[in-house]
Amino acid sequence: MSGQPTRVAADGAGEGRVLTPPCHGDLQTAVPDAWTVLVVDDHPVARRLLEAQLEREGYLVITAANGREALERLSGRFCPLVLTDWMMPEMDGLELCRAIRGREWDSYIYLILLTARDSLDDVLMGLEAGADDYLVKPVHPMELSARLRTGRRILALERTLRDRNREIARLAVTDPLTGVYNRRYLMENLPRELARVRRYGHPLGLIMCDLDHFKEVNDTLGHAVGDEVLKEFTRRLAGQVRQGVDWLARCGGEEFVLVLPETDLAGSLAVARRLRHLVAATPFATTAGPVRVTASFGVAARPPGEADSPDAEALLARADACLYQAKAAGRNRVAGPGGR
Amino acid sequence: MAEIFRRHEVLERLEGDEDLLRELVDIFLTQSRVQLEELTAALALGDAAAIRHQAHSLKGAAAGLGAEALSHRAAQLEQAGREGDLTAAPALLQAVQEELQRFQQTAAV
Repeated sequence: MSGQPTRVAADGAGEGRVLTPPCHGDLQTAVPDAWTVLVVDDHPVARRLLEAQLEREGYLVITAANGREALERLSGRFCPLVLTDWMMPEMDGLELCRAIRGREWDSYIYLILLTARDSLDDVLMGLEAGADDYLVKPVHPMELSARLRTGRRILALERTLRDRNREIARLAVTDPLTGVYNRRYLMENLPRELARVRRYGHPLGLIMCDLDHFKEVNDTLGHAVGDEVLKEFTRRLAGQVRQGVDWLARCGGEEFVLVLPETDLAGSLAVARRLRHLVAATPFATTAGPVRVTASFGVAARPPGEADSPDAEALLARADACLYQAKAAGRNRVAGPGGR
Repeated sequence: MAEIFRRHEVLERLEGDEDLLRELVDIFLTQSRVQLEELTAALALGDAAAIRHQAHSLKGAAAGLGAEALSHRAAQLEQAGREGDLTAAPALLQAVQEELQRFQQTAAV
């Protein structure tokens, strides 16, 4: 069990960054400037005709000659609107509809099936296969344009809903005051992080920290200033950790937990000592003037290898016991296992 | 009587874009020659499914380009393929070929 410590006490590379739960739903899934339509038809005339019509209306168009090709195009570049012919060699429109519905995509794909026939059976079969709408060929440009507008309306609605759901999910694991994760996230994700490092025999560090005499700040300067202190404390902690790897959660009151995956005990102790200094060295600027604040830190770690594999509760309990020692020894200090 | 080429109607759908119409006719004629070869081969093999497929594709593209008479002929051939009865197919294929020629001559003007 000689796992290398994968992290040496880091320098101030992360300084100034605030560790907040990531807000999903930006960048990769942003609404494109122009809507992209995938046109699927085995006949080059039909493809070119639709392409010309759609481009005239400002759509970006990509084309495919059959369902199989369409799936390849979609894998390479996501398209929210798909306009597909029904009868095609290799993979027809119905199979394509089923294949698209059978997979997970970035967001909803609005499918319009083009058919030469207008029988009720065909329409029902198409809708059953997952098409949202159908058009009878030859398609009049004005009708095509109107149907695509309907599709865009539905896609826009779906996007709004998805973004809101993401925001709600984010808020559910975020501490509203400090913007870091909350206790619920900690209890849900620490076991997951531990399971992951255990699989690879990697270490994981845990720092539990608590502001010293925080009650006095609240009592003498008021809760609003207390909140300012908590926010500044969070900023200082968050600025010292690796973004996207380490994370911070507020467990309640003035107690926080910093989770450092891939960091062993020595590395975690080094981080805690740096944080202690960072908090104590400079007074916190508040609306009530500068406030001197200190914090105590309890450090525990899952060592590399397999011998010692504490679960989340046990690791939290170890860190908590060390935090208690740090408090008992006079506060403004770091305590690790075995009085280190 | 079905028209050979409903040019005005198509042009209207293309918002008067003559260049695009020419381009589409060119693509269509090239593709149709390939499809006629495949139809001939399918007929020789008695492959009704292939006939149905090619005729269907031709029918749709012809309709989209306003080649009404050709589209109708192709529809008849598609129907023969769907029913699996190829007795009339050689005559129908012949009719498709003639209609395609007429379209080509009309469209070229």
